Amino acid sequence: MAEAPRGDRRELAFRLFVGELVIVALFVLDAIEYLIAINAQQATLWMALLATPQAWLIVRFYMHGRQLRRGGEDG
Amino acid sequence: MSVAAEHAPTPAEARHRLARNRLGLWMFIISESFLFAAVISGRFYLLGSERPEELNQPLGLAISFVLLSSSFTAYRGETYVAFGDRRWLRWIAATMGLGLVFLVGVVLEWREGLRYFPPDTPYGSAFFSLIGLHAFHVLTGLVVLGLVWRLGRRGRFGPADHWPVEAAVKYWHFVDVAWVFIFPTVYLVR
Repeated sequence: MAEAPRGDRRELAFRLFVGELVIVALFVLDAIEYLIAINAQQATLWMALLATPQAWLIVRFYMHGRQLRRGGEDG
Repeated sequence: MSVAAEHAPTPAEARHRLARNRLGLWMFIISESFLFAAVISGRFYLLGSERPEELNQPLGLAISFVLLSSSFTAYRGETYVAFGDRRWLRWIAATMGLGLVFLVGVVLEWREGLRYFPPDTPYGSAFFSLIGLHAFHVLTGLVVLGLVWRLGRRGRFGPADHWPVEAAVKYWHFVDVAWVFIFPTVYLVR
């Protein structure tokens, strides 16, 4: 691979870092969801409250969900 | 002048085509999400928030982590290809590996499910429909990722032309989003 310009490398590093932050957040939310489920008597509402931000994180950052609002252009 | 050169799209046309492709895929993903929503609603309609005690929740959590990790590797693959870095192939291969591990987990849970709540019981019906529908999507996602990976090994796709990789990865993320709702619906609610 040809050496990427410094600006590109910085942008690449930033995007990879965002991906790392998102996966950590997803793991934490999933683990909290599980702990609540095995300890609480009524967990359905909690499940919905914790699943929604997980889905949002994936759609917003991994799927680039802003493209939808911009007619398919880069979000 | 060759026909291909004569009809080579201008940058504006290429951008427009990409935007159209993306919108088409988003529409497909939204329509698929209605299918999952219908099956999830069916589970609550039939059973409320009941679930059998025999469910293997740690296995559910483990395969959940595996699938979430596969979204991370897929994201890295897509990011690398957009920057023309050949490491994207490694990350897509890792995604496929994690997808296969997920499917092995599904087979294990199905074996337990068949013993404790067969498909002709109300919970078994919901369990096998939901997990089966999702596993089928994982399988199709693996096929698409495999095709893209194979083409990529032959040198296809670069920073300016990687729509098939983006599409395959987006579909894979959608499968993960569906699981984010299926996991609590099947294993955790009560």
